[in-house]
Amino acid sequence: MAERILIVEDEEKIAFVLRDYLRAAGYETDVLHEGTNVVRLVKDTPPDLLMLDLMLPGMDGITICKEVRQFSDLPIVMSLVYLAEVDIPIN
Amino acid sequence: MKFSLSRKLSLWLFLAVISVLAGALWFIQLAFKNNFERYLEDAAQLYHERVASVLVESYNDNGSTWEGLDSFRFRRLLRLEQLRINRAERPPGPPASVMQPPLRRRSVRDIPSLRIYDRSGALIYGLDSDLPDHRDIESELTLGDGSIVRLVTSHPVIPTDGALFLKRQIQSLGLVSIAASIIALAMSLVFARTLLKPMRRIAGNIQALSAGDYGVRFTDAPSDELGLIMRDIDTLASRLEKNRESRQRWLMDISHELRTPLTSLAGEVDTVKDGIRPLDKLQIDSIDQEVQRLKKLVDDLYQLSLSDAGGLRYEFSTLELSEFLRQIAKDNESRVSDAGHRLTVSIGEEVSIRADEARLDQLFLNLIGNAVAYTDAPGEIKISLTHTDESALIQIEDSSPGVDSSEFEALFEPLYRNDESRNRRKGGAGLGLAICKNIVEAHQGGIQAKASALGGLKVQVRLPLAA
Repeated sequence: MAERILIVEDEEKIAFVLRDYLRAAGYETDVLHEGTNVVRLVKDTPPDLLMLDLMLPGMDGITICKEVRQFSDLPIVMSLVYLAEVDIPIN
Repeated sequence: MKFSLSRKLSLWLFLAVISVLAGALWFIQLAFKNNFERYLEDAAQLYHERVASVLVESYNDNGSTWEGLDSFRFRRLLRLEQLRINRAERPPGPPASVMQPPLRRRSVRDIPSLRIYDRSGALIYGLDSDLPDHRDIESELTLGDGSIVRLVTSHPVIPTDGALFLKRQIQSLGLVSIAASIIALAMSLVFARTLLKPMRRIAGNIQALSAGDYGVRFTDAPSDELGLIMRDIDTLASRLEKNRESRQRWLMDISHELRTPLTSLAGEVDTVKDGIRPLDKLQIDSIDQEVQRLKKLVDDLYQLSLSDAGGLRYEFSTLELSEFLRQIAKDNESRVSDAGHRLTVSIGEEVSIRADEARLDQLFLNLIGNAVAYTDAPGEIKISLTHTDESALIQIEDSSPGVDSSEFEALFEPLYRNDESRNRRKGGAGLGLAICKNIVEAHQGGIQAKASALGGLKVQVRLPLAA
């Protein structure tokens, strides 16, 4: 069975580009465009890998990452599409 | 710089003190000299009168003759007269003879020269010669036997010891003025230093500001004028700080706004290149969408910079606002109905304003576009115009969803988009309302967001009426 990757990215087109590449590489993918339900979804059906954007509507990537780490050790990839954004959530 | 200023200030203070002192000294000296001379004149006059009375008495007592009047006898008579006057002037108290100090012995030179002439001008007594630097006092005396003689006494203009006294006075005043000058110099140095201390603090902070350190503040600004300047500089510093922050924020936001469509574009082009997606109509449309998005963003940025006060030449002319708005409503009717909304218009009586028509057109296009983009279909969009004595009030309202009242002001900030609109991606980069604000402000008007009775947002534009 293919490994499952959850992509959380608010820019639809960027999310779909990621999805298409990962599918082509043989992964099963799910896409979410906002942060509100991510933690619940990860708890209910844990993916094998989580790709998180930093700036998200609902709940930002850093907060999601911290909450997920409370109960899971699954690998998380923070997608730093915009380097300039790094300062904002961390500040 | 600061040392030269303190030196200048000290020098000026010192000069001021010195000139006041010199002036005072001159006046004191002048007044003293005058008074002293007057005193000498009075003394001479008194002396003359005494001599006259003694002479008359002596002449009468002596049997109407000047015989036997020598200088020794004359002086004795004069001394007796002096005693008599002293007694008369001080009736109570101990006898004057006891109190009277022994008369100082005078040199021959000091005796005022004394001459007596008869009516024909012939010299009766004394030496008929003019003494240098002497002033004569004359009077006519009527003697006991009825004959009249002329008495002349000569007095030195400034007696030797008087001149010395004057010189000493000026010397001691000079000492006082030197001491005062030293004190003035010392005090002016201290004063200049104290006065310039806050100036140095101001200079230091301004240097820090120009070096880009906007965090500096005056911790304890005094309540004087320099304190006011300090507070103004603090205000300036915090404004600069805020400006820098907002500029950084703005650059970050704008680079984000430009990067997002660029990343999508690059990603989609890559998927085609890598053979993951086919290059079909759908893909071309998607790429075109991002290209359009970028184009709109760049256009908006250009408009924003143009509409910024001073960035654009506005051409004002008188505009019939009601007619103008009716036309706007007509032009936008299909755009609103295509989006599934109903457009209602409520325009009152004619009002004229001074406006740049092309800019105002852009303003309402943006506002209506915003209303269409952020209203759930089927909805309602309403344009209304009312006016007061001073201004016209144009309102563009829409139905739900609304905007939280906490966001009303932020809506007009460049690149501001609330989470809701950001997610829906319907609008542009969030520059539209910022452009609107610039345009309204260039017309000396005001723009505000409020909650609409229709359930959505109400944007109020207030423009001053043409005079």
